[in-house]
Amino acid sequence: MAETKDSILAVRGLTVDFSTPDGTVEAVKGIDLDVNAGETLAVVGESGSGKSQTMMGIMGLLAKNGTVSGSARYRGQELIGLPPKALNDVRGSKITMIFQEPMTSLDPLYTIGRQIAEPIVHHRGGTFKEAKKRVLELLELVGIPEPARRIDSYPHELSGGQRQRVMIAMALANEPDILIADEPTTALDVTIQAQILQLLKSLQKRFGMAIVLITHDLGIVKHFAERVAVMRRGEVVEEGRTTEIFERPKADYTKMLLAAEPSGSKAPPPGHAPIILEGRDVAVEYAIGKGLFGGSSAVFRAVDGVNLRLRQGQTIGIVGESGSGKSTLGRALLRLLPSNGSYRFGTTDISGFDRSTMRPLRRELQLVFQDPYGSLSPRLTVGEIITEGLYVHEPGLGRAERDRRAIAALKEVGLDPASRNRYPHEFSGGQRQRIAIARAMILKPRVVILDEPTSALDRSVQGQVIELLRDLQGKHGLSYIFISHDLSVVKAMSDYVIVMKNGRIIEEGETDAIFETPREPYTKTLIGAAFNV
Amino acid sequence: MTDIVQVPAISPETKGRSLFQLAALRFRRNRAAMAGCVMLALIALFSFVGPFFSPHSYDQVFPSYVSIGPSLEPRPDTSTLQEVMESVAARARVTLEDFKVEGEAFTATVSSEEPIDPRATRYFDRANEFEHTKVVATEDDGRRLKLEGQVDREYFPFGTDSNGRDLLVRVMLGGQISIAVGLLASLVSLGIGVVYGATSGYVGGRVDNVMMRFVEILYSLPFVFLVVVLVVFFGRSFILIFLVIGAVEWLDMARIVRGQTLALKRREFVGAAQALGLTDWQIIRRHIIPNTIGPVIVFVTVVVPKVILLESFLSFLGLGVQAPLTSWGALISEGANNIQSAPWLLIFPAIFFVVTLFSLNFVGDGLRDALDPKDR
Repeated sequence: MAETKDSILAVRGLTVDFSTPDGTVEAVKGIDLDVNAGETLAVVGESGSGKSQTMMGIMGLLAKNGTVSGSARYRGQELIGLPPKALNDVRGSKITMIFQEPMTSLDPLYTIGRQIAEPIVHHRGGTFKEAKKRVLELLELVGIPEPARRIDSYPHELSGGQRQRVMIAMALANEPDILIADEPTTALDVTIQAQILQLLKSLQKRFGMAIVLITHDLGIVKHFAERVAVMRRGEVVEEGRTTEIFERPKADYTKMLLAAEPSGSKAPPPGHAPIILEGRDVAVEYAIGKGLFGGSSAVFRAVDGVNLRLRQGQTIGIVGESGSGKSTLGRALLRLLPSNGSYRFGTTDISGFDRSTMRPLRRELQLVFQDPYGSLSPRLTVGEIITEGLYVHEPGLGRAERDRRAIAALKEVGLDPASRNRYPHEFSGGQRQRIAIARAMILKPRVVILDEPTSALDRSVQGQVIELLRDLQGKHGLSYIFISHDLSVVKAMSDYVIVMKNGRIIEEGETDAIFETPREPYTKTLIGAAFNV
Repeated sequence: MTDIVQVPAISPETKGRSLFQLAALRFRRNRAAMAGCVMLALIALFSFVGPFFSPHSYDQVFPSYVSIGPSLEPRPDTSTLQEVMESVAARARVTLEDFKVEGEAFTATVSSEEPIDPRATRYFDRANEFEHTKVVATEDDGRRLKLEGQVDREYFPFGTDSNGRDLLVRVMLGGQISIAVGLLASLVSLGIGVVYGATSGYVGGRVDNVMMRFVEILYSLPFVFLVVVLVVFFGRSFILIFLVIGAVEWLDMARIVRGQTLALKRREFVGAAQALGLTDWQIIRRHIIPNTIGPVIVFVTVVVPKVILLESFLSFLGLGVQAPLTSWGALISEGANNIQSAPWLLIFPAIFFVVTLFSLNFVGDGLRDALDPKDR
C-alpha cells in the first residue's frame, strides 16, 4: 500500500457479505486496495477468493442477498452507499466493466451498434444517430473488420472473440478512467486470448486508463500486469510489483499458486503394447436446417476423416480450439454419436454396433466430462451417482456389495467414503470432478476418454486431478484420450498429441516432438499463444 | 490443497442435504407460503373431519327452516317457539298459561275447562320442534297439566339453502369434492403429462414431432365438447369428472415437462448416463423426471385451483356432480341465483373457495421461490 500518489480508486476495509439459508457468508473480509492512474493491477485468486465480488461490490452489482460495507473512493468520491442514480454517473462512464462470458453479456435482441451506442447516449445525451460515428470509431479501434457492415450485426452473428471486442468497445465508449476486466479471456481460445490481451494493452497506451484485471491465470498476469494483488478467502494475502511477486513470493499461498503449473511428462508405452481402440476415417456429419418434411439441408462435417490408434497404457492428447471437433471425435469413438468410419475395440470390430450391442462394452469404455457442475445429476446422492454403472452392468449386485464398491471407489479418488450420502452441490469443483472420475473408475474400464477434465478447475486443483489421473493410469494400466484446449496440461499428461482444426488432424506426433519442433504454422501459433501470451 | 482430504465441513454427520431438503428449508422461511399451507390444512380438516361433528347430514332436509339466514343462535329461537307452542296448544284445545325454555328442555303449563287427556302430549310431539313431551304433574283434577319435554333446537351457523339443508355441512361436502377433484385431476394430469412430456422430449426427432402434434390436436378440441362426448360414452360418474379434467390438463403439463427435458437432455449428466450404458427409459426415470420436479410442483399448485374452477364450470353446466352431492363450484352457482334473497348462500362457499385458491397461490409462489436456485 506504499503507492498512494496517483491513486484514483482507493478501497479501504471493504467487506462483502452474503446472507444464505446457512448463515452469513463473508465473501470479502475487509480488504484494502489502490488503483493508480494508468496502471494495470491484476487481482489474482482461485474461485471463491472474492476477487470478482470485490469489484461487484464497488460497482453496486451484487446479487440481492449481498451487502457491501467499508469504503471505496473514486477520486475522493465515496462509491459505497451511493444511491443507484448517482452511482450510474460513475459506472459505465468513469469506471466500466467487461465480463467473462461474451456469449451472454450482450443482449441478443439488439444490434451491436445499438448496444455500443447505449452508454454514449445515456451518459452524453444525444440520439442514437449522432452516436453512430463514435460507434464506428470504436469498432475500428477494437479491430472489428468492416465496421460499417458489422455495426448492424446481431451478437449471434459474431464469434466469441469478436463479441469480447464489442464488449470492450462498449466499455471504452466514454473513455473511462478505470476498466475492470473480470476474467476477460477465460472463455476464449488461446490464440484469441492473446489477441484480446494485446488489444487491451494497446488501448491502455492510447487512452491512459487504469485496468483492473481479475483472473486466475498467472500466465496472463505475468505478461500483462504491473502490480498484483493475490487474494484468498476474501483477504489480500500479498500485494506488490509483478516481477517481485513472481521472483520473490512471500506468502505461502502465492508460492503454492506459482508452483501449481502442471509439470512432469509421460513416457510412451512400450512399442509392443497392443492397440486397444482404433478409429479409421471417422466422420461425423450434422444436417443443418432440416425442416419437418425433410427437404434439402446443408451438411456440416464436425469430424472429417480422422484416424486414431490408442495403445494400451497410452495417453493421446487431442488439442484444438473450440469448434475443432475434438469433443465430437471423442464421442464418436465411444459410439455415442451416429458416425461413419470403422472402429475397433481390442479385437472386436464395433463399426456396426448400435446402442444395445454396445451396452456390454460400455463398462470398458468410459467418459469423464468437463463441467463438474453439469455432469452430476443434482438429485442423486454421490453414492447413487457412482454406482449407477453397476446398476446397468452388474444388476445382480446386492445393496451392501454396491455400497462396498462405492466406498472403495471414493477411497481410490481420495474422497472421504462417509460423504457418499451427500449430494453433489455440497462439494467443490475439484471434489466433483473426483466423483465423476470415481463413477468411471468403479466399472474398471480399459479406455477412458477425458473431455477437458481440468478446464473448469483452479490451477492448484487441476494439478491434483492430473496427479490422480496419472496415479490411476499407473495402477490399472488405463489408456486415456485426453481432450483439452489447455496445452500445458496436455503436455504434462500425454505421450502423443493430435492437433485438430476444423474437424481434421493438422499435425500429430510424440508430445516432445510436437512441443519442441512444431511443423505446421497453426500448431506454432497455438503453442506460442499458450506459453508466451 | 484444501481439496483432497477434507469433506465439506458444513455438518459433521454423513447424511447430506438434498436439493429438496434445502428447498424445504427455504420454503419454511417464507411466511406467506407457510400461512397458505396452514390455511389449506385447516380447510382440508374442516371439509373432511367436520361432518363427523355435525348432527346433520348433507342431504337432510329441514322443512321448517328453508332459506334461513346464518346465525349462531339455536333455531328455532325462543319467540318462535312461543308462537309454535301457542299454535300447538290451540290445536290441542288447551290454554297455554306458562312456557319456558331452558337450553334443550322446555316446561309448559296448560289448562282447560275440562280435564285434559294426557295423550294430548302427542300434539306437542307432532311439531317439529318438540320431543319427548311428558306430563310431570297434574293439578286441579286434571284441568291443569305441567308438561316437560325437549326442544329440538338446531344450529345453522351458515344458514340453510332453499331446500332447507344445512349450508355448513354442504360447504364441508363441497370442500371434500372440490379438494378431491382438484387433487386427483391434478395427479392424473401430472402422471400422464410428466411421462408423456419426458418421453417426447427425450426421444426427440420424429417421435417428438408426432407426439407433440397429437397434443396440439387435443388442444384444438373444444373442452366442453370433449366432456359431453365422454359423458355420453361412459355415463355420468364422479370418477369421470377428474378423469376428464385430468385428460385436458395434462396437455399443459406435457409441454412444460418436454421443454424442461429438452434443456436437461443436453446436460452432461445425461451424456454420462448414456456413456454408462443406461437405457432410454432408465435415463428418463432416473435423471430426467427427478430433475423436472421443481417446475412441475409449481405448476401443479396452479393446476389445482384451475381444476377446481373447471369442475365448478362443469357442475354449472350440469355435467359435474349431481345433487344431493355438491361442490364449491355448484354451491356458488346456486348461491349466485339467490344472491338477492339469500346472499349467505353465495358468501360462505365463496369465502372457502377464495381462501383455498389464495392459499394455493401463495404456496405455489413459495415453492417456486424455494425451488428456483437450482444448481448452487
